[in-house]
Amino acid sequence: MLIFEHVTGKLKKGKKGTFVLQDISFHLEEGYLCGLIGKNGAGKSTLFRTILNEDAQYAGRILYRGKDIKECHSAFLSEVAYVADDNPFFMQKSVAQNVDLLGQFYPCWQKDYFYQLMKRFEVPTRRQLCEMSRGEFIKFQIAFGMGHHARLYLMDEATAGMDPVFRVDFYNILRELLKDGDCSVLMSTQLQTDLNRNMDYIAKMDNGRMISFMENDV
Amino acid sequence: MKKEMVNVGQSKDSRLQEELKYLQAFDGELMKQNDYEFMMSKFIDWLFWGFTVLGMLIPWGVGEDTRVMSFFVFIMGTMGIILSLAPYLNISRKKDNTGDSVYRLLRYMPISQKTIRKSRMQMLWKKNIRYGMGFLCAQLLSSIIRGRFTVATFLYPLFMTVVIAAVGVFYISGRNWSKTDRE
Repeated sequence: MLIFEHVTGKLKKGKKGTFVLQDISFHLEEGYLCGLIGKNGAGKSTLFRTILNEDAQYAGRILYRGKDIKECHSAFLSEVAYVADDNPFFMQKSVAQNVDLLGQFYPCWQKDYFYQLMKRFEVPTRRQLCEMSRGEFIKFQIAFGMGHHARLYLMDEATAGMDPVFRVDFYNILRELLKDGDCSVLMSTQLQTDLNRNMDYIAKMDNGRMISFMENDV
Repeated sequence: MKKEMVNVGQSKDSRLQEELKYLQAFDGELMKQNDYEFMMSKFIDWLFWGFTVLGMLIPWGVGEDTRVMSFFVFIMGTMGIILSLAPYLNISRKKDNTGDSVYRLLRYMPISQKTIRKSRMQMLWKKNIRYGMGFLCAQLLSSIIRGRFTVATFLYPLFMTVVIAAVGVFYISGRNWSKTDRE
């Protein structure tokens, strides 16, 4: 589903300068959950932004379903759900206002299905996004991704700082997502317990390099 | 129920048309939700357009020198066009609590930044034609009032329309639509 072929690139990081990814290669198949691990500054978020950012400059290729994502980046993004704290939504607007504004960018968007999911995840829909708890906001983003039938979920530290009850709930949702076998999840985490129990593959990053990518045998 | 997935390999032109349609719907929805910036944008647009026409219609206000009037019109027109396009150009004052302005929020949405730029160019073009026509009508009317027609009657509106369009195009081209502080 997602293939990185010798991706080396730079991404600007504010005034601090640039962050460099060095020769990243891996293959994430459909129906699997891959955990990305590494200390702060290892390049996990940069990896996500390289995939998501249309203007990211890199050498090598990133293939999605056999096609280079640079060829039609926006069509590629219509099949991607990005779940993170800094995911851009209208934080001052309500869930309904957000989905009315942003849902229409997705050809496969199903509003009713999204609201069913929100009900099932027990996330209130009348609140503004800035009033939601972090867990609710993460669930909202997953429901939004499922609402437009994303096939690739990119999750940046989605479980960080969350209690064990939320994490059990969260991984149940992910397992449900993956059971049809046509979706994949790439998620960064710092939690060893998350990795051991839930991931199919584990990728380890350090200083902009992927130092290992292997099947989880725990 | 799973819907048919989008065709990642679809032609660039059809994708562009599709995206322009989405963007138009997005703008419409923002207006529907009474977004303050967009309401202000409309207001400023009409205000400056009104001033521009008024400037041309009052020959006694700035004397009979059409160059003075034209300069006034040029300044008003340029400001009007830039300010009315403000929310579309990422220079809006109102920020979300993420620190993002409206179009930066679309950076991870399935719409190309090129499409947003193209759509804004089209918008600028439409506004510019309207301003240009406004200049011309006002200039003609002003000439009728004074009973004197010169080449400048037609050349000034044309010249100013081109200059304002150039300012707008330069401005839009210089925007980095997806740039964020972090990236």
